[in-house]
Amino acid sequence: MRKAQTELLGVAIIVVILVMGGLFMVAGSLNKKESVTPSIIDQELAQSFLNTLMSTDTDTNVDVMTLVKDGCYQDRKELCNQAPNCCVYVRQIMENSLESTLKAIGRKYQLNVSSSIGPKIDSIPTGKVCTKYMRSSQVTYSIPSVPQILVTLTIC
Amino acid sequence: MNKKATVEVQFNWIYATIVGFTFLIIFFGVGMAIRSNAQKSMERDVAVYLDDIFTSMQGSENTENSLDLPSIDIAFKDDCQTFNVGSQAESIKYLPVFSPSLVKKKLVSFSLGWDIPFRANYLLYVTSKEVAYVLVGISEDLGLPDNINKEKVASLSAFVNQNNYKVRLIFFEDPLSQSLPPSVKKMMDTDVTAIQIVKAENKVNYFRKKGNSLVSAGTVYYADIPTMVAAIYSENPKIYECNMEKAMTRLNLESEALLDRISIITESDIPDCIPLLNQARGKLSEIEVESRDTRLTSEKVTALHNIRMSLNNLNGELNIKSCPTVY
Amino acid sequence: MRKAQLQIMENIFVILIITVLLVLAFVFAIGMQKRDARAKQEEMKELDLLKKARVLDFLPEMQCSDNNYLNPDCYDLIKLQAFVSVNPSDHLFYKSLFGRLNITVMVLDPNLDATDRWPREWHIYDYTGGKYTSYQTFYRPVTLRDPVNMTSYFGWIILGVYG
Repeated sequence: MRKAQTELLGVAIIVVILVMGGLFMVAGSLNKKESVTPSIIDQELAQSFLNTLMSTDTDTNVDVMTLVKDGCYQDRKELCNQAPNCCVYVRQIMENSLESTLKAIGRKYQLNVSSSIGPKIDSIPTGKVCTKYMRSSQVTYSIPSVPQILVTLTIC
Repeated sequence: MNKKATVEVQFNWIYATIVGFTFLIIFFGVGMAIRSNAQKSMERDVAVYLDDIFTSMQGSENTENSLDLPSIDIAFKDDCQTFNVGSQAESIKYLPVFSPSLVKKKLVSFSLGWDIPFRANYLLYVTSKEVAYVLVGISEDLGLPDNINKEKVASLSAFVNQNNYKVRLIFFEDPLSQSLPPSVKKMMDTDVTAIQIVKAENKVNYFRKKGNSLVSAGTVYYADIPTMVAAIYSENPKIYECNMEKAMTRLNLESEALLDRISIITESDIPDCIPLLNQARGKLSEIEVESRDTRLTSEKVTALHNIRMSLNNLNGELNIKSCPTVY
Repeated sequence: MRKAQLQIMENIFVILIITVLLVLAFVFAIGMQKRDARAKQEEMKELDLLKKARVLDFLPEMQCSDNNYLNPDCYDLIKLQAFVSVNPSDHLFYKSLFGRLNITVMVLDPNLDATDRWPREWHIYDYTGGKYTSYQTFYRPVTLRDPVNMTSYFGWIILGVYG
């Protein structure tokens, strides 16, 4: 009896070791590490995009940053080719840029212009595109002005 | 019955020993294979990381970097085409990297932009923290960064090697008249080198150890501080010259492109700027001609220095007149 | 005799089972290593793409220069045109510098009354180095500055990497 019990104990120990080993294997395969490289690429893309967009000169020989700061928020229509609504004008320019570049390469994005005195430019595109369940990279460009204007681009 | 039991026990022991030994060999073999793979993987990672460092160093000149190298040696070949991280080879065909032939334990790096006077290239300097740079009778820093192991001594006899695997002695005076200290004499010939910087002639004389004294090993010319630092870091004249060839090649291609640029600009309606731009075009042509032969000689150093001063002045004048500048 | 034979057989079976377990563990470990190696290879490919794109940051041949301060986010429009005329694809130096890349720069006109959104493009460099099995693309916006009339345009760099 004793010998059989000892043998059974031995088998039980082996089964326990096997089960523990199996659990470790399963834990290892579930613990997948996500690569950080795509977020670095998106971060740089968003940053470069905003830097470039803000310093791009338009038909009226002023750059987009000045159009937002003075044309839209200070209501200086002469900077927007006498367009009835300067904020719509500059929004259209930004939308054209985004659609021709990020949208054309299949990227989802959200561009918001915000200020302490309230939003004057609708987000591009309208409606929520980047949800909290999507991996996203967000960059903010601060336009030096009073009040401060923040342009935020999220690529998701 | 006793005999049977004895034989059985002995046989059991022999059997267990053989089996145990077999298992030990298997585990040992697997362990060695894993260790070898890990080493290769580490070498590959270091090689890729170094390649990345060399690329990004170009954007962060004057920034000092360091990297620990546990049980990995980095060998820079005399032909300047590759460097080896253990058994992994990486190409540095286009990048001017000035270094000793072997870098161990802790890699320290630094870079400077080379301006002639426009930014022609980035010169990268790599060495080890375990290489001693001994400035003999020199009070200035010579443009060397703080992250290297540099020591200033009044005379060569005052230097004691603190277990550094390589020693580079730097002199303004002729080192042949000086005798090596005992701690340097007992080092291998290949691990001790010396240079003499002759500022009046923009020249660096190289020396190597042979027995208990130094012997001449060649001469190179430098154009400015970045190239002088390059000569200090280079193990021998060959490493300096072949890396400077890369820098001169890029200088030649850039001057060609800048010449084309000026030609396009002069077609614009900017009459006030044309005379100055034409003068600048002349200077750029001179640089293009000088850099066709990629060897840096004494005459070329003087010529480049003069052209650099003239172009610098012209660029300043173009800037004052709100004209498009050369650089 | 029979008892001894049974004993030996028992020993053999024990060793056999242990060997089978070890082999299984070994096969699983190799499988895990292979999977990790594949994942690492994929990450290396992406990092390599990022690294290759870095070459765009250190190009005095094309970057805007303000008294030798080089702006990595800005390319001089005229330097760019001049660089194209030098034909870098034919130069050994640039083949070593860029490797197997395709570099194209386009100008975007975002204005409302633009008739052509992409009025100009330059093929800076293209070298496949023979056959290629893959092609990855990397995009980067950059300011294109005209130094004569002091105007900044929206530039779009398309970097193709041959694998």
